[in-house]
Amino acid sequence: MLLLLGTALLGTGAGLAAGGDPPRLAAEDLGNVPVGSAAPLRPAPAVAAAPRPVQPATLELPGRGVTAPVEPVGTGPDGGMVVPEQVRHVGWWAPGVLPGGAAGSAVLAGHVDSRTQGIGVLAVLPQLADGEPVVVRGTDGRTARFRVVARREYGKYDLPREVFRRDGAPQLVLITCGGTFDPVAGSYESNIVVYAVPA
Amino acid sequence: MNQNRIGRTVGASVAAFALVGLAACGGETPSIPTELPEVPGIGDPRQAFGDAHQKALGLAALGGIGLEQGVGEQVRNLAPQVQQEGQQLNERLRGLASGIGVSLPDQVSPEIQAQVDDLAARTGEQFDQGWLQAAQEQVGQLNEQAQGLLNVPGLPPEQIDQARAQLTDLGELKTQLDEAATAAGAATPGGDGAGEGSDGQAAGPEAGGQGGDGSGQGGTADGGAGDGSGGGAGDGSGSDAGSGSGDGNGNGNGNGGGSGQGGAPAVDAGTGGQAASASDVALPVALGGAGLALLVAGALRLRRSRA
Repeated sequence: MLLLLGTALLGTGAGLAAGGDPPRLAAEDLGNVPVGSAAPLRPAPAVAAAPRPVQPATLELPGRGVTAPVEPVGTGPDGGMVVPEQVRHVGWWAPGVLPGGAAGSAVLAGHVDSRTQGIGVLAVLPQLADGEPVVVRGTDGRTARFRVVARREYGKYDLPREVFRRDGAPQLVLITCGGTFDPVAGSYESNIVVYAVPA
Repeated sequence: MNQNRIGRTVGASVAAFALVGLAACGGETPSIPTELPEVPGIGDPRQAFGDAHQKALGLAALGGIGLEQGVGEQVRNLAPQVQQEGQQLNERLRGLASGIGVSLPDQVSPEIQAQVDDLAARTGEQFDQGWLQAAQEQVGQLNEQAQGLLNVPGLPPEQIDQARAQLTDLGELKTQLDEAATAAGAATPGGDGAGEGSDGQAAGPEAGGQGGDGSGQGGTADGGAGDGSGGGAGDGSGSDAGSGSGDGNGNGNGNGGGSGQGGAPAVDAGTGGQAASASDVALPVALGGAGLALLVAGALRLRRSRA
């Protein structure tokens, strides 16, 4: 009986490994994406001290033991966000808002992997759990603290423009690649996006 | 943040507020009539005027901080124009709003203040990139909102004409800002064509002029901008990578919608496939391992029973 069951499991494993489907990095949807286009904040007679944004220096995912240097990046000539070559580094889209401010969506992105450098620092995004802490440490040592509230997988050409918004409620967005990997093109078909709000 | 930077931040914010204060000329307490009907496409005119007016104040503040902290030629050249447009639109919107009994506040919203604070915390190229992106977004949104406001019933006709001329200037400024933002690497990744194509719409005035023209393009995929003022027939076309369509009619409405995949995706961040392979290999390895363990256990048991 044991021999039969063992043979069956071994065969199934071998069959899956030899299957012809391209490799895929899946990320389950999580939570509700924060609504950013809410009614604009109205003038208030007495405004509490507004949160001060930080110039990002490192990204920390304490629950994963991840700390990654952050580089300011812009938009490349091809119209895509520049992502740092180093897979252990993360890019902050500098034309957008700073993390930790009172409004807008700060965007950090990093490679999930690279042919030459292996797995990247943001490959953990599919595993992040609801409420998990995310910390952006500034160049001056101050921190902006967030907690994960949602995750989505979007087709690469379907990334919502809203992700880069300057107005609305503050949030931090972490982006990497995922979905099916096309070995011929050497790229993934999707983006995995994690949304975090101020903790 | 060190003392110098705090000083600069506070100084810039104060300067921005001062500019806003100079530009503003209305009373501080909004006098809001309670019986303004909703306008299709705009909603509550009071809110719409308030939102557009805040954008104008924000634009004036952006111009001021750009003059103060801009380092590149593009920002230094565009900042005075941005400031001037913001101030003039502030006055125009006040005039239009007062025509229907709405007075607008001097105070900037916390959101506009947050934008100024964000920029004030930057220096060098990061300031310029943030400034260009903010100005580009702000001008685009203001242009759209203000176009809609011209359809609010009861506005003084002579003020509408002046506002329309002002919006033509704003459109030209938007073009300059778009070009400068692209050159500085500050354009929104993916362009308008990523995800959903943006629609270009323009409502033409009552008579005369050329027809609407909408187009959608792939690649950088700008959603077509309709531009019509009646008389002619509009048209639209899509490039090979995207698609778009447009039409115009005698009333001068042009619509264009575009979506495309010709350009780069907004974020392309993986080339190796190891992350996917590592994820994919987990189940086969687990099943195979369990199978192997059972086989060994079975073999040992068989051997013992034979012994």
